[in-house]
Amino acid sequence: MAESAGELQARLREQRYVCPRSLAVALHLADRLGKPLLLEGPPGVGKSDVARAWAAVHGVELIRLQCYEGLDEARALYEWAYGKQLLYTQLLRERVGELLGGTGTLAAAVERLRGEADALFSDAFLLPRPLLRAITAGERVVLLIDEVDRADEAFEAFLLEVLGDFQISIPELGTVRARVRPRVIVTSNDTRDLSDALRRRCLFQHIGYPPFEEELAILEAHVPSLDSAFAAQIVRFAQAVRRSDLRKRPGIAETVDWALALAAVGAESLGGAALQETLGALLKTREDLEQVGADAARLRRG
Amino acid sequence: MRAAIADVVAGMRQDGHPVSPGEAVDAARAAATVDLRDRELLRLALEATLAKDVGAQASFARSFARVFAAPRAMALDCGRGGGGGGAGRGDRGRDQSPPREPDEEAGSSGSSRPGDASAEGRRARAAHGAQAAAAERAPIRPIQFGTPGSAHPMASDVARVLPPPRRRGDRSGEESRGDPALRDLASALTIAEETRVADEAARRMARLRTALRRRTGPALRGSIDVQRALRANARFGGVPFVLPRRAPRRRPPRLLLLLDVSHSVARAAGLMLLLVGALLERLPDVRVLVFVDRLVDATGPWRRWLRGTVAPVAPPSAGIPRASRAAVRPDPRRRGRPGEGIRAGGRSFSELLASLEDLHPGAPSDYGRALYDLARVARAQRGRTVAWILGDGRSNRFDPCPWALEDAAARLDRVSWFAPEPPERWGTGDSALPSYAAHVHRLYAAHTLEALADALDDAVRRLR
Repeated sequence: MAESAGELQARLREQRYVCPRSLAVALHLADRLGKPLLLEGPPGVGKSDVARAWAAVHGVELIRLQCYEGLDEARALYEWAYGKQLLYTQLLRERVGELLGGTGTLAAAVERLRGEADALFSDAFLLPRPLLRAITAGERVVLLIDEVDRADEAFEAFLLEVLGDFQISIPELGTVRARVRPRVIVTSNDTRDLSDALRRRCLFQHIGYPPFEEELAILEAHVPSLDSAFAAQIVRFAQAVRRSDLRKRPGIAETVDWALALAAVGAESLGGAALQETLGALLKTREDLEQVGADAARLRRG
Repeated sequence: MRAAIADVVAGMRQDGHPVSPGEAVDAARAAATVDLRDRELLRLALEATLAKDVGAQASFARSFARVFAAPRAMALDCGRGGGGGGAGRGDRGRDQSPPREPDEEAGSSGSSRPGDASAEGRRARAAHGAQAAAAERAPIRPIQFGTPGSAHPMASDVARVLPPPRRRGDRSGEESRGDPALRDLASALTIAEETRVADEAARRMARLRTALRRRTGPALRGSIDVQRALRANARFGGVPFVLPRRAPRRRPPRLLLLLDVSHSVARAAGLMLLLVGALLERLPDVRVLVFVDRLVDATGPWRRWLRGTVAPVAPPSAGIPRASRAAVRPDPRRRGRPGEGIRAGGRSFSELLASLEDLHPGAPSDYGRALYDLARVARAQRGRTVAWILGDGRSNRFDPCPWALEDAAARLDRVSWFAPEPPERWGTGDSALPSYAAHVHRLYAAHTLEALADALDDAVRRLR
């Protein structure tokens, strides 16, 4: 565990994550207080990447739960391996026959079977999903609950138990408590309001688009082969594009992708055809491409 | 420390953000893990535990600044443009740098503005002499705010401190709390209290009208006033010994109003629009641009609002048929949305905002985007144009783009900024006000009605 927010910030930098101080403080507190951290902000600003870097800093596994509409407990928590259970009952049919051989009545057979059936609902037949894996892990893994705003409100309510007490109730097995509390990051793109109850259980940090210097540092960390003047040109263009009235503003991830694309086609400046050829890495809708393509000369000036 | 955290929590609750006891406990635990000598670190730690959305962050910043206050400063003349009362370079505290020549100023990069040394500069020199010209040429230094552990640096950077907005004696505490003109515009008010503030604003409109009145007496320059000349020289048998002159009639400038109408600032914006309405007779060319996350032209709806013809729009949550919603008057004892108590022609300011289809009141404020759009508007302006900007400069960590304001200011005659927060909160939290201060001609504190009216009075006099 990092001793201070400053140390954590430096160690995240070693993992190629350029982290503002406010975020480093929030991560440090999440670690020290054992609280989940809710990160909110537009897509592509590095919310999920924090989890990767944080896990790497601590040398632990990153367990990711990607949320989507219709996500339920079975997908997030655990499932019984029905196929395996069925296979085992088939293979053990003779053994079951032997077991029930001496019983005279149906009621007596059911009673004897009940004593043995729990064998099919044990850890051996449990398929742990991300939440259960994080809770039962022997070390403080990093659990990333990504884009929680995409999940239904019912699932959000279910998360409250997990994030509040770090325990899960499995009817067949009882309550499973975390041996060590995982480090939890919850991200949201702010497409819908999260409940106050969920917010209360988390620390909060908003991550917006970074200022020029920070984005330049991020780009240089991810694409170190890029000439620094060219990198500055790319960032200035990306920031100017972000200020335009677009359907989808490019995030930092898109800026990095675009820089990689420019490097791949051997471009050394934003002049010429390279810009038009690679804009698809930065912009993701036809309207935005047309608008920015037409306005490229002005945007190049920043 | 626990008491201080409790005060911060109480302040946030007063602003309508329900901080739970659990969160307060988290805040206390967080404070125990950080170095308390580092004010910024403490602020970040408490913010992460207490402010759980972007709106709450603004409230937290206010509350934190109040409880863990930096030394107080007032308001400042940013040194750009007009002389304003003869305060020159000698008043700039620690600034020992010599005044630069106009050419040097125009050629330098950073905060200089080529336009300063040109037309307006020449006019100012002719009118106010060498002292005003020296002030005009004064280089603008960016102002550093809020270094942890240091004294509030604004005090040394303030070029000229405006008189504090308390002309009614030195009342404080309970007595001043009853005066609607001295209420903090960002505080939680009931609709009835807000209406009292708006009524007080209406009483101040006449004074503003007077401030813009053209001087009608004899002037030193201008064309000869024939009627006065005939009357004045009658005693000399018609020989023109005296030639009274008429002050040149100047076309009033176009006024661009750029107003942040997000939740925390909407009340100040409503009052400002109410007050500026008093100037329309003499200042017909006013364009109103409002923004939360993007700029919306509200000129037409604003004029209709002043005339009392804004289309009624009620909150969609009200389960009342649309036709009858307009007739429902809100309970004046409850805390409404900011602007519900500011009415013109029977409609509230919040209704005016609700009638603007492209405005997203729930979005986080994005000053960078708004100022970028303002720069585009400024590029299209022809003739004298003055911009007044009202906002707290809290851009929710979006890029504040101060260069966009610099670009706009270079194309406009004058830019004044009205900050609806007390000066001790400027530059705290996500406030980008310090980076904007370097690019405006004047920065006013406008956190109470009295401060706002005084600031407008001063700004109007500078339009003449």
